[in-house]
Amino acid sequence: MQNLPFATQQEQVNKFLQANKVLGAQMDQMQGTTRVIYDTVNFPTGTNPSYDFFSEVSGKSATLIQNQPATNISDNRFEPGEGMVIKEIGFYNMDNQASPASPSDFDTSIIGLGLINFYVGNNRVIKDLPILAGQVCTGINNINMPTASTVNFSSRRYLSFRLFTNIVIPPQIQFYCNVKVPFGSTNATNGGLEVLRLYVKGYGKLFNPRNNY
Amino acid sequence: MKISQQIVGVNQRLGNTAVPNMQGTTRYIFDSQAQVASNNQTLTFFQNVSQRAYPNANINNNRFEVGESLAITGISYFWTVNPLTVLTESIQPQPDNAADRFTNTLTLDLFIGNQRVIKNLDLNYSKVGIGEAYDPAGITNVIRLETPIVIPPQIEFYATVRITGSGVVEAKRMYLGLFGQGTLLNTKSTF
Repeated sequence: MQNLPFATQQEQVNKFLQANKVLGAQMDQMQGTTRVIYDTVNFPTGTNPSYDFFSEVSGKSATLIQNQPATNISDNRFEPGEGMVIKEIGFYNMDNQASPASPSDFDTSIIGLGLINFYVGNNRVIKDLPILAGQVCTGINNINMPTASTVNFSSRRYLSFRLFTNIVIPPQIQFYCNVKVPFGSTNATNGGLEVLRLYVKGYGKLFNPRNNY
Repeated sequence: MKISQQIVGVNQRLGNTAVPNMQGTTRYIFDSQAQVASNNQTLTFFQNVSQRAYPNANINNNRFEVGESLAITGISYFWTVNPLTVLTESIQPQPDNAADRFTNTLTLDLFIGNQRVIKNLDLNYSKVGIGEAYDPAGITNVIRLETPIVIPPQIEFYATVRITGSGVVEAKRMYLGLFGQGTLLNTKSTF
């Protein structure tokens, strides 16, 4: 991703501080940072299968899926002094089943009709946003189109897109993300979408009541 | 003018003064219609959308709920087989299977509250638009607007696409998407 102009940087900081101030949290002394959080799920089968990401991470931080940590956070709410502004959402299809031999194609299949709903503190802040937003044919931002690389199915496995607005996750407020796709599969491998990882990337704050850098 | 200011301005002229307090979001709505094998036809999107359940559409009504709005900054379109039954079906970039991607002309009209706000826009320009050749191997079916167009809450909207050309248009399902910054109802704190 390109370096953000200063005005854009300041805008995300201001929104973050304002949203926290309303909730009574003083965050302006904390360390600014870049956060990438993720959660991984075994995708369910059936019609209109859906799954909640981040809602059950507290029991998963030590869990390995395909020998990789299932998540990199221990709770679905940030600690005091921590927080995040969501800028990008990404997917990683980790399916490695022998049959079908290739993962479902995130770049060109109708997985794109899958819908993302993001909740922060009982409020829905993203409503029925289709995964199409990151596909090469229909991407909402032309700054980060997927590559056409076929190495290790990379163009099939990865997809990301940048949101148009800053969305703040304050400290101590629960958040989760629901993703549903149009169709499941009756076979055990779920049609090449057996394991799915959701990434959320953005500007963040870390607890640091004294000097920051 | 920032897009958020335009959303607020349009809503305030309609007496909807609470919009600045709503949740800002990224919105992408889509609807689809069955396309017949004909080289001259017009499809109407978003009207009677309640009759088309997911995954044919991701909205239930062709007017937004209270507190919701959308500033359209881009329009996308694509095709699939009809009907959809399995997850492995592809997003298809053109209405036929011809090697030449310019065998058809697609002209779009968009109406908001009895007013035409986009007139005879050729969607195929998206394939030659500046900034859309980042991945030469990919095909881009997105046309980005030069000015945002705001759909306020409770105002009906619909779009028509006229398909004409020399290519052999096939019986498929055409999807039309509108995306941009938007608002969601949130009567208390926003994030």
